Amino acid sequence: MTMRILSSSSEAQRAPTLSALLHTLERDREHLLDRSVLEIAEVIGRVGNRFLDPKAPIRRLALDGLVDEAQISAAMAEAVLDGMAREWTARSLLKLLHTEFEQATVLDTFIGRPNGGRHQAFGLSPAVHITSSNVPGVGVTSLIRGLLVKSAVVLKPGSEDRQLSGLFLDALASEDPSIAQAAAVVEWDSKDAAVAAGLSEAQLVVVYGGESAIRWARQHAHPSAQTVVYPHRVSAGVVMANYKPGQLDEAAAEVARAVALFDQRGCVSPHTIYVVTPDNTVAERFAETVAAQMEGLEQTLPPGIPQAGEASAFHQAAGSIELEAAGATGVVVHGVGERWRVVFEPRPGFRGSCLGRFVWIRPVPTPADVVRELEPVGAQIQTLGVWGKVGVEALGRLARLGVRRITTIKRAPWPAARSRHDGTAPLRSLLRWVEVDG
Amino acid sequence: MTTGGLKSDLLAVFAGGVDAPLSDDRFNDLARAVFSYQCEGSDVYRAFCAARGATPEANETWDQIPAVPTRAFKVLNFNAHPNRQVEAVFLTSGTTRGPTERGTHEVADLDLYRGSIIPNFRAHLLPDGARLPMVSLALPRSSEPSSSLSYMLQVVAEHLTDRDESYVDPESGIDETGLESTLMQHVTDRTAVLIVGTAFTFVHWIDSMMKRGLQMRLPEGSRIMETGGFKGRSREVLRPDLYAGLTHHLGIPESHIVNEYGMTELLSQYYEPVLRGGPRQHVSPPWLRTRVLNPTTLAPVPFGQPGLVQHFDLANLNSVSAVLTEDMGILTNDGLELLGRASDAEPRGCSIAMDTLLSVAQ
Repeated sequence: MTMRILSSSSEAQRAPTLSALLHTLERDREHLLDRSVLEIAEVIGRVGNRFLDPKAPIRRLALDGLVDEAQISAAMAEAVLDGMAREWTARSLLKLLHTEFEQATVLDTFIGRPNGGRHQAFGLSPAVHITSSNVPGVGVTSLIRGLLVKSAVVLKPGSEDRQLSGLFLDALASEDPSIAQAAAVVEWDSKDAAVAAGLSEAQLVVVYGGESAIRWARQHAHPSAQTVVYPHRVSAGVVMANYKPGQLDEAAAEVARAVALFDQRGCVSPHTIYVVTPDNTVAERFAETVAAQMEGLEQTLPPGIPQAGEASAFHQAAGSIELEAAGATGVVVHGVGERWRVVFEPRPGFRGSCLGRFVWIRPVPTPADVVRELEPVGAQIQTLGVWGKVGVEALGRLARLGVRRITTIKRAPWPAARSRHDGTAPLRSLLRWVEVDG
Repeated sequence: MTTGGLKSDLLAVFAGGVDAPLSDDRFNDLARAVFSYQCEGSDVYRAFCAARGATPEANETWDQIPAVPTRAFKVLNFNAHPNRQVEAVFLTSGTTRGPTERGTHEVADLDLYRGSIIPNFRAHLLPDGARLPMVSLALPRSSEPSSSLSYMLQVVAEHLTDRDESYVDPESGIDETGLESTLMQHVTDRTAVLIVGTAFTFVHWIDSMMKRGLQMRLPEGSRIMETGGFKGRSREVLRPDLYAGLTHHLGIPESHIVNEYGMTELLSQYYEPVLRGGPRQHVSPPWLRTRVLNPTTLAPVPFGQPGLVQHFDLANLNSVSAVLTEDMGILTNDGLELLGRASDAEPRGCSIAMDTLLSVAQ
């Protein structure tokens, strides 16, 4: 198999190669260029709403597909689809447009610039979006962004995100064929020379994934093409123990949910939670409370079936830390024998998690200590979820370290559509601008 | 059972050889005694097992004994009686994160290691009773004292072969001139030879012979033991290609090339019984048992299904016997079919960032 088209217009279905597909979509994109961006957002939003509607057959299809393809539990499928599809609604997309552009119509026509002249924005086209599997729905989000800026888009989703991506484009085609026909969802063998050759014809390549995926894309993208990359990241959390001290249970519940969501595979999933307190016993009790929440979530938001490598990594990490805890003073492991671990570890240094619901809880005396702990890995941190307030000075230092998003622990798993992903503007990064002087 | 008594019992089992049956009951008796000894001597292991609901008094069978993960050997020394002097310390191979990430296996009593090595190697590499000169493409123990493989080959050389010579130097690599001269002498003399080495070294040598167009026909009865894989190496060669290369350049048929599967964390090994007329799957001696487990739940998988490989090695009396590996395998009627590392597939999630993240953090 070199390339297989999972969803597209009937004409694009006949394209034998990625190159031919890009040509067909670029031609069909003409219809998209004549539509107003606000109208496109409304159309896409109607489709997005169907995925949120409990009565819509397409929601059922999407949920069943998530369970089957992504091997996540039914409850997780609901949580993921609800969280992702919320950002596919017209309301969210319009907020995205208005956040990024003073006047969204700059995507439709030339508008005046404050200091003279006019400009208009065009989506770089054709575009290829390559997304990863760790969070189902990321493919759809990327596809939507491409269509909002009126690019012809080929989406190659991760292997566990194909069904949802194809379903969305099919639904869009039934809602409004002239928008949908500028896009296709495919799968391909990256070792195939024809795929690599096709990639070199894209004006824009967007890649979510690990180093090898990014290297491959960069290697085969045309040197003049724009490349937007979203590498793997990690996230962390901070709990200010003196913020609503009697309500730490609430913080524990938010931490547990943030860890459990996506089975911790998201770039927003926290690996380590720092509890800011001068009293280690407060942090230790916090870890117990998080553990109790994790136990509950194993029933209400059950874990999915991990791949063998993920499961192996979990058992290796779990067994190793249990042995360390058996010997080391102060380390406490919760969840032995369960499909999660909460490890209270009063030792300095950032610890990455093996994922699969394995979280470290570390006590630190002050917010400045959080900054120091994160210093070696600051450039890799995507989201820092905070319960409480860390203070302006610490915020500034965290920002300089490289942390890209600071939010509440509750909101950490669900960045809004208008959020900058990894500090990159989601729509502006897909554009070229045309300026007219005078 | 006293420690001395237990050791003697184990050595007697090893001396009985790979064909002496070891009943389930007898294996369980020994396993429970080994487990009890290990819990008695190591507070850490005892506490680890207790947290998992396992004690020597409660456990009935070997498969209920909690396994330590191989990665734990990187952070802890598993010495069943830490105050006891160790006779050797073996280090696991380095990871892509570098040599500082090597695990440690402290061996308090090399008698058990020797006792396990000799009958097993004899059965699978010398089933015809031959006593052959050994030519080694592994680093000798003098150069690599922390290598479990080097020690094993030293034991083999001392007890099972006529003469042994190593043709690998840590600085200069393979001494091709010396190696090939020795082998050509065997061709001339029509005397069979045993060649042992790691797959990776064999690959380099084959590449060199190919460039030079060198071929020889080693006498009938010559045989090869190869071991190790290519993880973290610059090249990977499929096993059939490696064996085809060995046959082409050395004249040793594939039926006389035996793969050994061992690990630093264990003192017993698996071999392919091809020289005994068996199929190309790995078999263990009676004192080493293996379970294949569902990667998610660690429950045993049905026979013939793939899963994570977990070993129980009686020879590991003085460390830990139950070891959970990162390998995938299938138990069949013929033995253990190894499928490779569980982590070889590109993982989902951000975990792929871990190596980068942790190397930055260190």
